[in-house]
Amino acid sequence: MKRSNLIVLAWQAAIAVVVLGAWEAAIRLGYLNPFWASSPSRIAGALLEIVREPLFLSHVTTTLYELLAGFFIGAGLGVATGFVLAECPLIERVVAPYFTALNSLPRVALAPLFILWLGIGPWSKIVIAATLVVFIIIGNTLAAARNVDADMLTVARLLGARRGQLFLKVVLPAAAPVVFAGLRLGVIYAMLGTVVGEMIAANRGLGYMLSFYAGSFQVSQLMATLVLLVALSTALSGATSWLERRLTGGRRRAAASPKTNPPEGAKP
Amino acid sequence: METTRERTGATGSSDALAGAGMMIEALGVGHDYRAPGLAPTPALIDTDLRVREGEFVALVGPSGCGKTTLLNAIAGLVMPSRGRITLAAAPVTGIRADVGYMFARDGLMPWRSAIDNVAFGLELRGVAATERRERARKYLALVGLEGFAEHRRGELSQGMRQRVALARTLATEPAVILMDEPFAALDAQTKVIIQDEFLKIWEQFRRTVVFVTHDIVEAVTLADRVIVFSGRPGRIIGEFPVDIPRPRTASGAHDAAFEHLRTEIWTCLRQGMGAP
Repeated sequence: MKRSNLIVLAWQAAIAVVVLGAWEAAIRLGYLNPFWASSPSRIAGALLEIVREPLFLSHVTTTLYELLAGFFIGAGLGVATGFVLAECPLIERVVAPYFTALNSLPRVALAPLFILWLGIGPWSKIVIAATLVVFIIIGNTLAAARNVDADMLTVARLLGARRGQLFLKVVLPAAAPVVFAGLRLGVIYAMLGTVVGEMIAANRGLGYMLSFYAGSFQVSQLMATLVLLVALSTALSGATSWLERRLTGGRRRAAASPKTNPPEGAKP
Repeated sequence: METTRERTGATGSSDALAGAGMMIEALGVGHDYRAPGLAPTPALIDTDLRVREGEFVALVGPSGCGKTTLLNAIAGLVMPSRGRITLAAAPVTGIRADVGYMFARDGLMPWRSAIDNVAFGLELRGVAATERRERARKYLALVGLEGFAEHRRGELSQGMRQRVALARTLATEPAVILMDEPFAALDAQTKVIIQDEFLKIWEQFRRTVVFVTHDIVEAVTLADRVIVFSGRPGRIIGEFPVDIPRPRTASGAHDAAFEHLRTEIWTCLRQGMGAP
């Protein structure tokens, strides 16, 4: 490991120790009320307790299922719509005002409506998550497809590329890094939509746990659930990055740093 | 391809060229730029250009004189407002497979290796993978990059990228190569080295080339004939055959004949720009 990496790691550990230590000390010395503020040790205890509850696994799998279903529906529709709009500017011009209007609506505000329509089961959360994800992905994919280097497109056309070839061999690979960056963001929004939906009305899921613990003043359990949510979203973000590397073959690095000039060697 | 010409004698040189394969024929070509809400402004007026098969023609002129517009019209990228252009006796109606085009920016795809960039045109034409890689390797070697086949754009210097772009243009073996200031973005030394290599390659293959540049030394070094355009709206104001024998080099000293021609072209260019 490089020396600078070690320094960064040491600082990161130090920050965690100081913050958590100060919190714990403030509780133990009586500066903070543990009823409201809990403490790292209490949260750790609550975490172990939550994990042993009989319905715990069912809560986690429900959230994961809703989140992933919402993400894949929203991302699939979003990527497809984004590319179609980029390829057909006329359609894009027609739908642009509707798109802007829907996009400016705070879409979590639709959550109560979807719960009314679809009930308190998983489908209301899936639809909430998907509506959050789809607009972000459409906008992002559209921008990615439009920002494809014009020179590359001109070269491809001059070499005889037909429309389908332009899309498959130039637009798609060139847009891929930006599309994937949008998908990583989409995962986070899918989680937001799912958890908000569960908090409004549900009988399963991590969001349901949050609102249950908040309603019964169990702050340590509430914070332990937050820790679980952070762990879940970090894992999902990591999975997206892994998938991206698998699909693009590490291409993102090359695409992301087009300006790095190697030293002029024997061949100018 | 040796069909009888219906129109000859429009310019003095065409009689001498009659019988030789006329690769490119542009007659009365003009083009207007149309910006929305503005009257169209002429960019190019009444231009005749004939290029023989295997001839290397350089177009020089001030910025905005329409020389790139003419090149793009020959390439089928732009439909000229007036006039007609034929390529190997067929009217130009769009981009053609037997025309190669190269410009100052490389347009390489950063996710492809150098060899896959060179092979791209062949890939689009459905040439089988092993054959196109073999052909791409040959052209990569021709531009001196055989050792960089698997390097990506980010790992290549500016000069190397332009070499890859040259190899990509040559790999489809076009009958006509159109070049729009292909070496303009390179530093002075790299430019001379690449010009030398390009001269060597061209003198070996002798494809028809139309080469747009604003660099008179480059035009005289490379071309068989230099055509001078006036400032906007552009039209042809001079034509200079370059009688310097081949093989030529870009790095050698310029003799008196070269300097004389350079001065003559420069004088013509200055008059065209309205300078005293």
